[in-house]
Amino acid sequence: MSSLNWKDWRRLSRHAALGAFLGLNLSAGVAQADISSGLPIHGFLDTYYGYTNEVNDPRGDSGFHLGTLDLYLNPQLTDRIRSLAEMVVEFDDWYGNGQPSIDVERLQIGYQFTDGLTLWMGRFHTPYGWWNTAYHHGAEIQPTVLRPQFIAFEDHGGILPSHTDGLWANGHQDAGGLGRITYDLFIGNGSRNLINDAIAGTPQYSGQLDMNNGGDDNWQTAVGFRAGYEFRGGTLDTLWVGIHGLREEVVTYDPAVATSPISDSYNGGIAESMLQMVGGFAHWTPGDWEWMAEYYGFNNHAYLHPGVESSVGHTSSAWYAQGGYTLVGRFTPYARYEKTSFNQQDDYFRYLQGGQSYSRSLIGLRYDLNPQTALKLDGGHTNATTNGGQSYNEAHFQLAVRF
Amino acid sequence: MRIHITPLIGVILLCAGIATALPATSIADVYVIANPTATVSAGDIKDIFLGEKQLSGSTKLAPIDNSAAQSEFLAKVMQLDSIKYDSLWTKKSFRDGVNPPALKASDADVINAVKASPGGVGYITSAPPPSVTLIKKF
Repeated sequence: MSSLNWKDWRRLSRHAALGAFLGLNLSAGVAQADISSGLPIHGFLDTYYGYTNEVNDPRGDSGFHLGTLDLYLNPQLTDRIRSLAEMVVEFDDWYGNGQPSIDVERLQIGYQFTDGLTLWMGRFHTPYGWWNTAYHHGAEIQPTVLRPQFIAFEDHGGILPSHTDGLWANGHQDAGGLGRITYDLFIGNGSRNLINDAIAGTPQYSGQLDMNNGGDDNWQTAVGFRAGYEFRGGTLDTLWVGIHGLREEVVTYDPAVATSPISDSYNGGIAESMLQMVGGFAHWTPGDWEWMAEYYGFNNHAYLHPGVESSVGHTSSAWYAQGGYTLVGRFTPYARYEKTSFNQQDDYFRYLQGGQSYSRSLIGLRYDLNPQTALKLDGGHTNATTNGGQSYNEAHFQLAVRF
Repeated sequence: MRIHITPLIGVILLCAGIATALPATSIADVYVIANPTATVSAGDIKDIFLGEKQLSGSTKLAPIDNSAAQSEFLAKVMQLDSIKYDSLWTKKSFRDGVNPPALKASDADVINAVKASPGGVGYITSAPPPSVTLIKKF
């Protein structure tokens, strides 16, 4: 091949423009990288215009918003040892007022025993459902502008730890000729809930899950799993269905409380909950369609005093379903419905920022300007149904790229 | 009226040549090859080039893309276009921390890379030399 074709010129011009914008030496597409020429940095960035008539929207007011700059790299250390490091600069934390924050999203080192077993240690995306490990901060590969609210990041009102510090085993095994069994097993530091009393007016709902990067505050290990079956070939080709579960003990801390009512061991600890979640998920891309759904059922128990778990459980649930269809390879209209029912007698939800029940309908259109750039326009209506909730509308126009 | 037939014939021949050359490019053979120490079957090829199969026994597989034959390989063997292939690797790389195949520029570069790596697997457009194993001709 002695000359460049039109695709080469398009690719070169895209990367030249983006490289100039970022001031980075970017590789020419993920599939074109040659590890012998250096360690490629890849990533995502996005920015959007948002409109909302929600009073005191935790994401901020209507207007232009910076989203996230996500950078990741995959050093292959030996034939069997690989690692993954991911950092983000984000501007859209809840109640963050648009100030930048830097997070180490993933810092994990893995040993691959076989194709069916890789053992990771470090901080990883908690493997539950489809969305959390499939898209995470990858705005360009995410089909919509926003995640379903209840599985948002911890600092965006999410009600589950989207990251875990610990050990994670995962892999797949061919089964039955129709597809393969997939599995994820993990243990890690249980999360804690940190209340931010600086958020005026709603201190009882200002808690954020924290992954305990510096060690487990209550020495209670989080345990979770995800198991599924992925069809390969046949009528159900690409369908992945499975179940997931998570159990961990979560202490809620309020810095305004000097003496803990639950234990002298947890200064500032005002509540202690055993989070128990079991649910299921499915993802399917038949032809130009994409379907996905996730369900989370909760049966959380409070601790009456240290070490004694209440026999009374509080049940709650959350789910979403989403579908989209891609026309002429570029236009993808999509729709999603989300619904949660969080028991407000449950201390776990009562003290979390995002722990209030809601339902949300969302429709949108994605346009793939080129393979690395997506424009998304969507609008949604939300009913927040408990504790002084409100109904509101919002719309977003997002520009997202990957490199 | 006098017709200048020589230029007309030239144009016709040029068009015929282009028409002949285009299908010839699209039906080029693709030979998938591997290092003789690697145990690879034809049924593994798709999984190897999508990062789903990374080991052959104790040998780490090292797939190698060939820019001179990539479009034929993707169409014939993977049943993908380059946009879909790039997209799949972006997601695989982001989700699982797996790096995509190294990219070489010619058949000779691919043959050398396959010979140099115990788990080397690549593809070329002409019959391979005896120093590498032919997995399948497409």
